[in-house]
Amino acid sequence: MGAPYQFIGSGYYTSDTTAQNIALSDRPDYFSVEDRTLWGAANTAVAAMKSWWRRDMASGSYLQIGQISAAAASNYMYGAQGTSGGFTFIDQTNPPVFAKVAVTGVNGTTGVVLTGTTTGLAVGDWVRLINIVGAQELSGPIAYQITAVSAGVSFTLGYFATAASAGFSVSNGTTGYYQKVYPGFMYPSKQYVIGITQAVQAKVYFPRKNDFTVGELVDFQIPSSYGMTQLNNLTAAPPYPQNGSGNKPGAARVLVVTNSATESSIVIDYNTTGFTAFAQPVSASFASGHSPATCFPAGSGVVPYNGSATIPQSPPGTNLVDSFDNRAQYVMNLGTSVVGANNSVMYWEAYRGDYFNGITNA
Amino acid sequence: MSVSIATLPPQIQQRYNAKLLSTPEHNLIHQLFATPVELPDNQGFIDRQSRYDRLDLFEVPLDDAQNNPPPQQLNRVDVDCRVRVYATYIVLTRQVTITNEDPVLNSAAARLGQSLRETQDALQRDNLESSASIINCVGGTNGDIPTEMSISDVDDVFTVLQNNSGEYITNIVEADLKFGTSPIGDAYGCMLTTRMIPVLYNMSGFVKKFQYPNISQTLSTEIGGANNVRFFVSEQGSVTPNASLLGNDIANCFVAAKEAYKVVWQAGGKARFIYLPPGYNNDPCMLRHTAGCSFYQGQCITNDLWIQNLRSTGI
Repeated sequence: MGAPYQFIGSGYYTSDTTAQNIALSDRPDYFSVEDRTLWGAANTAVAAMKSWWRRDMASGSYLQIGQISAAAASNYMYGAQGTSGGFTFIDQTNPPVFAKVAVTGVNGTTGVVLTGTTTGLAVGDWVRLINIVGAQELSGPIAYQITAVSAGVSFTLGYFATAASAGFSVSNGTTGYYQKVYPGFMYPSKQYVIGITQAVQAKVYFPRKNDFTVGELVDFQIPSSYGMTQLNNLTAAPPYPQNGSGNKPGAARVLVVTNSATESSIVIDYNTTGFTAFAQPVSASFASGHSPATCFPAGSGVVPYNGSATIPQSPPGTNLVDSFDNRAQYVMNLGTSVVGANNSVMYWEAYRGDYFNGITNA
Repeated sequence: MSVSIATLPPQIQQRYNAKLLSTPEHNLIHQLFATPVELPDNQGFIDRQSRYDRLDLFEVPLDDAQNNPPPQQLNRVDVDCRVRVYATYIVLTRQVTITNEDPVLNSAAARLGQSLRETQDALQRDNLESSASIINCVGGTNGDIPTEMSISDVDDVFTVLQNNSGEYITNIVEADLKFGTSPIGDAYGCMLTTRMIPVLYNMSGFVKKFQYPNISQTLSTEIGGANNVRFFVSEQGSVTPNASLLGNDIANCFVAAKEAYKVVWQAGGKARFIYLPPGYNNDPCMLRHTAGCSFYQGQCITNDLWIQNLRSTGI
C-alpha cells in the first residue's frame, strides 16, 4: 500500500506488427512494453525497443527508446515520441467517441473505402459508415470490421466483401463519412445481417466477426425490403411451418461458425431454399425508411455431435459458452508504432498509482 | 486601521453548513420490467431457464377408422445467464475522518449505494442495447434513418409485440370525468433516455402523465403514454452516438412485454456495503479506512420476441 505504484500485471506476446489488445484488470497509470528479442542486438535497427505511456499523455501517444543499427553498444539508443500509433486505453463500458472522417468512395463489391485519412485505423478495428451517397444501405448502425489498411488511401471491409462475392453486393457509394467505433461488450450480441443464402442449411453473413457458438439458437428480424422475411421471429414459428420447407419449430440452431480473416458467418439448421431471396435494399429505398436486418440470440441449444453438423450429440451436450454474459474488459490497445518488430517477443507491464487521494478537496 | 468585513479572517467570514447539498441521482428504469431470479448459492454461476414451445393446432378430425394422428414434437428452449461479480471501493485516510467535521464516511456510504444501483441499472441497459432486436422509427419527418419517433412507430412496435403474443405490463387507465385527461390503454413499458422528452412531447397522440385520468399507479420515472405504450425515462437511458444514416445520435428505446428479460442475483451475493476500519489491508499504522460495495448479477433476454429496441433520432 505504501508503494508509489501498484503492479497491475504483466505478460508477453509475439509481435506480428499488427495492433495488439492487452486485457487488463484495472485502469493503468503507467504502461510499458519492451522488446526482449532484439534488445541490444548488434547491427539491428529497431524503432520500438521500449515504449511507454502515462496517464496524463494523450490517447494514442507514446514515449519511446529506439535502437540504431550499429556494431558498438555505446551508440545504440535514442529517444523518440509520437502522437499516434501508440497506446490507447479503452474502457469497453465507456469507449471513446471518435470524430467522423470524410469518405470519397465505397466499392459495393470489394468493400474498399477510399479516404485520405486513415490515422488511427488498424486491421481489426470497427467503423460505421455515415450518409454514403449512392449506397445508403451501408449507412447507419452497422459496425464493419476492417481487414486491410492502405495508409492515407483506403481501408477494406473484407467481411462485407466476402458477403458481396457470395451475391450480396450493393451499388458503389460516392461520398460520405466513416467513424471508428467500438461495438458493445454484452454477450451474445445481435449481429447485422448482410447476406443469407438460399440453401438446405442457410449461411448467414455478418460485417464483422461474430460471437455466436455452435449449438446456440438464433432468431432473425428481416424487414420486407431485404426479401427473406420467412426467417422473421422463428422463436414463434409453428411446429409445422406453412412454407412447406419442413423446418423444425422454433429458432434456428447454429451448426457452423466461421470467423476467418475475411469471413464472418454462421450456418444454421434452417432450409431457406423455398424462401424469398435475400438482397440488400437499394440506396434510395433504404433511405426512404427501413430497419436493418438483424440476427440475435434466442436461446442455448444442444451442441451437435463432434464431426457432424446435423446429428445431435447423444446424450445431448450442453453449450455453456453461449450464456448471456458481461464480457467487458479494460483494454490497452498497442498501435503499430509501439507493438514491436515482426517476431519479437514483447513484454508488457502495467501499473496503477497508489490511492492516497480517496476524495478530492479533503 | 478601520475594521470592515473585508479585513475579517476567512474563518469568521465563512460558516460550514452541515446540511449537505443533493447529489444528482439517475432514474433507475431498466430493471423495472425484468423478472427477478435468485440463483441459490453452491449451485454454479449460470442460471438456466427453459421454455417449452407451443404445439401445433390439430384441426383435422380423425377418420372413421380412428387411426392415431401423427405425434407432435415437443421442443424446449434453454436460456442461460451468467452471474458476474461487481465491486468498487474508496479509501479515506484516518486523517480525513478525524479532522473533518463532516461525516465523510456517511456520505461515502450513500454515494457507494447510488453507484451500485446505477451500475446494476446500466448493466441491464447495456444488455438490452446489445442483444435486443431493433426496429427503426420511420414515421417521422426529419429525413434521417431512423426518423424521430412518431405515433405510427409506437403502433408498429405495439403490433410487433402483439403479433408475438407479448403480454401487457400494465392494465388500462380508464377514462374519467376530468378535464384535459385521456385514457391509457393496456400497455407495454418503454425505457428510454431523458433526451427523448422533446420528441415525445411533440408526438401526436402522446398523453403526458399529468393528463392521465388517474396517476395513483404511476412511477416518478414515468413521463406519459401513447396508445398502448407507457414511457419511462432516465438520464442514463441508452444512446448510440452518431449511428443514424446521417450520423446523428440514436436513442435506443426498449419496449418490453412481460417476462421479456430477467435479472439474476446470487443468493449470497446481494448488494452489500463493506466497511473496514484502519488496520486492515496491509495498513500496519492504521492510517486508512476503506468503504466498499459489491453485488453479484447476471442479466439476459428470456424471450427475444418480447423486447424490441425502437430506435429514434431527433434527440
